[in-house]
Amino acid sequence: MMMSDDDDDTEPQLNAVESYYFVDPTDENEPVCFCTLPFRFGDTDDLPGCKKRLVLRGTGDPGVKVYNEVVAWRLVLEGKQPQLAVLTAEGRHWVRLIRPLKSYEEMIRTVLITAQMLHFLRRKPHEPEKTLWNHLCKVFNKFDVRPSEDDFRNHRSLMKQFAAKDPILAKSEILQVFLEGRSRKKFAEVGADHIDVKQPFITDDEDIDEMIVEDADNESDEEEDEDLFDSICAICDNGGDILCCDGPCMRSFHAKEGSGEDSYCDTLGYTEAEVEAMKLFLCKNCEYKQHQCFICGVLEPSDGAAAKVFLCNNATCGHFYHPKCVAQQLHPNNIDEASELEKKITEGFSFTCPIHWCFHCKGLEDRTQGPLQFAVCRRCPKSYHRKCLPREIFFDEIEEEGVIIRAWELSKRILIYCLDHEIDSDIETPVRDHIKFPKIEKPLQFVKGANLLRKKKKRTYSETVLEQPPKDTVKMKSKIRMQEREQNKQNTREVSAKSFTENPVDRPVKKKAKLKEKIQLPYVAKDHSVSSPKSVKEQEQELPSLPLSATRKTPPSLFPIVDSETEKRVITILRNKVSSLTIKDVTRNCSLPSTHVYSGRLTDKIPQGKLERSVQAVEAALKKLENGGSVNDAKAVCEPDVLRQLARWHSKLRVYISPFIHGTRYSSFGRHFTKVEKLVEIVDRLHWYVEPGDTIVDFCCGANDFSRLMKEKLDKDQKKCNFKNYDLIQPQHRFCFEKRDWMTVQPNELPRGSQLIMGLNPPFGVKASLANKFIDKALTFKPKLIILIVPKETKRLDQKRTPYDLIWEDSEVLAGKSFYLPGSVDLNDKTVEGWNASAPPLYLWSHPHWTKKHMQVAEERGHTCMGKIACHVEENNLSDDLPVRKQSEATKKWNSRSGKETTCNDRKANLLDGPTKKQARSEEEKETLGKIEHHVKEANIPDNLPVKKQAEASSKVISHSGKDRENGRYNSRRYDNRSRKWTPDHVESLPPEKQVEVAYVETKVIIPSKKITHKEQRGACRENRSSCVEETKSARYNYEKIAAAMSNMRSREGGDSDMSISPPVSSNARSKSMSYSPSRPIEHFDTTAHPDKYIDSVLNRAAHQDSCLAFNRKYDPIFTDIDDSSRMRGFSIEEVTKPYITAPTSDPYRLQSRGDGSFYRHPSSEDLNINADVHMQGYSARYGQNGGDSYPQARTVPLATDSQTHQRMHSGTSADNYLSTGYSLGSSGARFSQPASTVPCFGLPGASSQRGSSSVMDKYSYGLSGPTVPQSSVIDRYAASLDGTSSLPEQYPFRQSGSSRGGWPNI
Amino acid sequence: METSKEQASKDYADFEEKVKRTIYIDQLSPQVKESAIKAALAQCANVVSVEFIVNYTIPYEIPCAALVELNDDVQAKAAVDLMNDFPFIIGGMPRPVKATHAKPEMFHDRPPCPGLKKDFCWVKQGDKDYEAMQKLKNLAKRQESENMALIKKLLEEEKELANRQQELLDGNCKKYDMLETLVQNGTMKNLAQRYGINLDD
Repeated sequence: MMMSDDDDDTEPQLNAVESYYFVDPTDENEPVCFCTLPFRFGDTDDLPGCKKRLVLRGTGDPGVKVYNEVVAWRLVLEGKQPQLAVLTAEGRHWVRLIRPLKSYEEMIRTVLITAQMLHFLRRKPHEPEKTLWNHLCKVFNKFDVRPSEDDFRNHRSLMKQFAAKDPILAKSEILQVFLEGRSRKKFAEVGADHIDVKQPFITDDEDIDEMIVEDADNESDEEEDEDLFDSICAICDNGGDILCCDGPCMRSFHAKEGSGEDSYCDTLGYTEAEVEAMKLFLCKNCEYKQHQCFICGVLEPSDGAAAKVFLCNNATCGHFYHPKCVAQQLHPNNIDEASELEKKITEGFSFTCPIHWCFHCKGLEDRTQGPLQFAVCRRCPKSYHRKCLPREIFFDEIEEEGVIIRAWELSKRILIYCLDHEIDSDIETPVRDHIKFPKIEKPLQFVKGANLLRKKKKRTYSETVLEQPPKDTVKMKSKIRMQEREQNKQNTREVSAKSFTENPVDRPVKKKAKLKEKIQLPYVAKDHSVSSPKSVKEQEQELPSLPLSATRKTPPSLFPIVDSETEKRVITILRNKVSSLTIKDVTRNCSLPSTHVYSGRLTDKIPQGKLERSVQAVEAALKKLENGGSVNDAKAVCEPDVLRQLARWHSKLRVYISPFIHGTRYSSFGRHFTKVEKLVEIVDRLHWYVEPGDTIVDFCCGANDFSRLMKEKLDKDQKKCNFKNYDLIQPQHRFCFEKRDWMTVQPNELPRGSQLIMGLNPPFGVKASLANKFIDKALTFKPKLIILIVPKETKRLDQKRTPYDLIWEDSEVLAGKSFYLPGSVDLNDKTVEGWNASAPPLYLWSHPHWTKKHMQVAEERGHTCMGKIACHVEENNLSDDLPVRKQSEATKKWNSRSGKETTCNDRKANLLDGPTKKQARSEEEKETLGKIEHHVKEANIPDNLPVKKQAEASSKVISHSGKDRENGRYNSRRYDNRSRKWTPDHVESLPPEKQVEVAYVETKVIIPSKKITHKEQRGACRENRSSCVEETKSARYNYEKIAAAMSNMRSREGGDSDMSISPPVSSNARSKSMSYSPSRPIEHFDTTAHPDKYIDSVLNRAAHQDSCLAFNRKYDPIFTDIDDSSRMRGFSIEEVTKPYITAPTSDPYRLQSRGDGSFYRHPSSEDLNINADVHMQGYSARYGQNGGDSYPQARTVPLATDSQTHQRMHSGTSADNYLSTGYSLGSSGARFSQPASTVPCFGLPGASSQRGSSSVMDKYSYGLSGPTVPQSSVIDRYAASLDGTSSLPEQYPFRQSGSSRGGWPNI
Repeated sequence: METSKEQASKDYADFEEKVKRTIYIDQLSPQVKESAIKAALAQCANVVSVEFIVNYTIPYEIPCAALVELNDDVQAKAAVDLMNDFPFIIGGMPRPVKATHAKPEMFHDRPPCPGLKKDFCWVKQGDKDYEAMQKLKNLAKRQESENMALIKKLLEEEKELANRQQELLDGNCKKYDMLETLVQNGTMKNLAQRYGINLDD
């Protein structure tokens, strides 16, 4: 934090305040910025008339709450840190402000930044402006928006005061510049984000910033692609506006005439229009399939039987070699091996060229580690690790005279010319005669001839006065941007293009010379027709007209004849018209709203050649591995980054292509509306929180149903509210509608946050990017409540700058077909429904100011039991900021695997309050029990209804995809209530470590009361229940039993493939497993050791076991491991059930599991397990459904005690699960994936426990969404093919399209 | 007589109202049927009726056009704005439709405008209007041929564009297929597993 208190306190009164914020004394709900107070310079505390007063609130030194009226503020710059203080109204002394309340910080952000800026300028008056920005960025890196000059805008007077009164700052030129506000241009170079957007001074720059940030993200992604491949011009070895060959060589060129001027590149000489028109660019080498050997430089055919040169098999390498040349280099000391290899290569054996190993140490490249990055020679197959690079190769930052620079930093590679090549000091590269294109009589001379050289030199003397034209900078813009982005990424990064190091005076001169040279090259004047100074548009216009003349000979058969005179006339008119149009106009007209941005635009940049090569390389690498090669060998062929790249491309393409394949779904701008019946449910829940006078804002109202329904409901309740609905597309119902882009709504257009309720279903965008944008925008209004339907990968609101508190979330209400695509009809003219493979949860978030009130409502209405409770709510306010931060860092570390920012607030918060929670817990437990009972009863009533009704109920229950369909068949309500029943147990969601301990204690506590509950119900639902119990029990016992039976992959596979019940296999496996783990046999004994207590109350025990099981599964590493083996249940269930039916009680398990838990309680491993559990959610839902669908006969079976049926069901499920298992295994370490795939195998109990636990687990799942997302996306594919029965075939790719959400709007 | 006059003017007023709430949609794919239009427009308006305009002039398949009557002129405006503001696609890719407000001349069942009387007569050479008429006639001819040329050119350009788009799409499809096979047959997963990396971040 920026305000520090380093001097000692002598005064007895209040002198420093933490977590401060200011409110207006007249309205204490609204925080106000303290800079509205008068500013005092220096120590003067004589204040004449001060009318304006604010109330300072916060925590004083000893932890007392502060409530003081203040009248003025000051800023002291003398200390190590800028120091803010306010003058109290009574007593007139200064109170230091140490740290603002988190939610307040955003409000005073600009003051803080300005203060920091002044402080910096005062301390280091001679530092360049750039350092200042770096410093500010560093200090304020936690803000979403990086500091910019705009932040000073409102603090001119403050700056002026300092400039006038502070002697040091008075001299600061930078401050002067800021004061005048004219440094915009200069500064634009500093913040790459602002580089090409000249912001109007007074616009609301927040969204602009956001958008730019977004763009920058995209670009950086794109840039990553380029990093992997060669992205500098093959001719001049410089970056800029280059075109990549789509052929196997994968080289890039300055294709357009005039590009790459600063490196005197001769370019390929194409015109802009030619390049535009190219869909597939093949360089001459690839076009004629003649390539040069990278070692000897001879041009040879590279394709077919006549091939003399062969391509290296590395994915990113486009070099060809003579077998002989490369074999010699690969085996320099062994002639025999070399000749053997040569022979093999000639026969078509794939090889990896020497570039991919360090010339010095023979090690592999690792782009992620600086010292292991490669420096690759541009002229011969030689690479060095950064650490192995010969000292004679100098980098460009060495500014000594006479040093020949041979190395330039690229982002993750170094470009060198190794010592074998002589550098031409004029062009700063070796002589550019290295490229030979076929079909050109003499090898292309890219070098200037001796004559030219002389001429040029002459000019150098005569024309050195030339100023560097500003045009140059424009041309190099792209490069500069690239560099700057890089610089931002790593402040220390050197410039990536060597042209920067050139002497600026030299440059124009050289260019002149080069232009001259160009004219003499016949090669350049390739297209005479376009070399005339025509505008681009004309050329573009010409392009279509060219084919026109060609097709004229074959006009459409029946088309009326048009005389050529007329046609000419028309064409002239057209041309005139067309020339007045620019491509910019067109794109502007065609631009989609920011809310529905089409994300496919990047796909054009995926060069086919690279893709093909990568694909081949992947195969080659795998082959290599299968043939017994080492992983390093494979990596030399196809490095891991290539694989990642492919995965990225794959998802990009998928997003891009789906609209074409599923056109009907896209006549709606990719909008998805929530179905009215779902909205009704949401309204039912939300209206309790609404107070009269509130304004309800639907920021993306779609069909505008939500507000209507809300109004109906509120009118019934006699609550008068206002509504405001925004969307870009005017809906049929124009109730309180305004056609606006939500991003353009200004804060002053809506009432203050205390009366605002916002939200609902924003467009999601790829990886929830749009949803995040919408939410961020909504947060600027600081509404008291935000209700959201957003995918799970959306950034949670408790992770925002101003964290919101979760009142509840419900991941079930929107499962299944809750959405439809407006405006789209399928073949049968039915509205296309959106099927969401993974339902976006419904969240209710509250502004921290009003959390208590809302939580109360939630508790009164029992909403907290539906979804799950936000437990961090209180903690977040109470708990210290700093520890939380630290915790979060720690969590990040834990989850660094996922590569995503993790969000584990709940856990964090809980870690702090763990112990106290525990105590509070048992009390709360009792409270909730009442509720539970209620739920249970209610839920059980439908149990006695006919099956039909239950099916209906099941559709209402709405769970993840088809899960409850299965449940419904059994008795959906029962599971539902069970899940509810559990919820309270989990409500507290302690940190994993704690949970292991507490969980079991808890179960015990609950038991007695639960018993009562169950007894009460027994009469009502005895039959169903017992059947259920029997299943549960059997499965449970199976589970135990099989837990003891560690199965190996083979046997499972055998069993699954025919889905038959095969006891021998399992028993086999069981016996095997005995030897596996010492803990299992013990369990086994236990189960048989307590055979008799069982008789008593079957019901509650089953229930307990269930919950117990849930705990086990979640928190006990052992059990997650065992779960693995429980896949076996499918086959062995029959056998296992019976013997154990009368066997043990639940107690031993509890005991055991407790024991196991403690035994295995390594904090990290638990985390991993939780991790794993999170994965399960996704799968289980889907596979549960599969199981259900593939066994329709189960539906017809009455719900009686036919455990057989259920067992079959189980086997079905598990069989399907197996598929998932097989695949999921691949994607991450065994530790993760194994448990992940096991969950569904619980069959019924498993399923129900998932449902029960999901509420808790969900909470974690956000934090761990990294791993979740990937896995499920992988599985998606298989899911689609598996559950073909349940979904329309055309939904298949759509479902794939989102990363994890499957059928979610990608547009 | 009076009543019929009144009737006529009332009819015409009704018709004018109808024109106001009707939009003209062009560039429709021939596959698009009434239901598709209805559904697509349901996002912003309620479709009362759809009337496809039959193309009598050119014996050639050109994109369809339709007159779509909506509930009221507000909706008509919303629909036209929507289609002008954003590429609005009906019935799938590839191209967005265009929309304008309908004009009375677009309706084939336009009732006679009351108070407007039309007379026909032959104009002979030497009449005072002959020259002007001749000019008009030529102009009409010329315009027709120009129109044809324009359509022809448009069609050709469209074809060219379609080819290009198709090519692009094919290229992308090909890329996607390649990747899809790789992903589907598990090669990527397999390799990733061997490398010990997680592909999906």
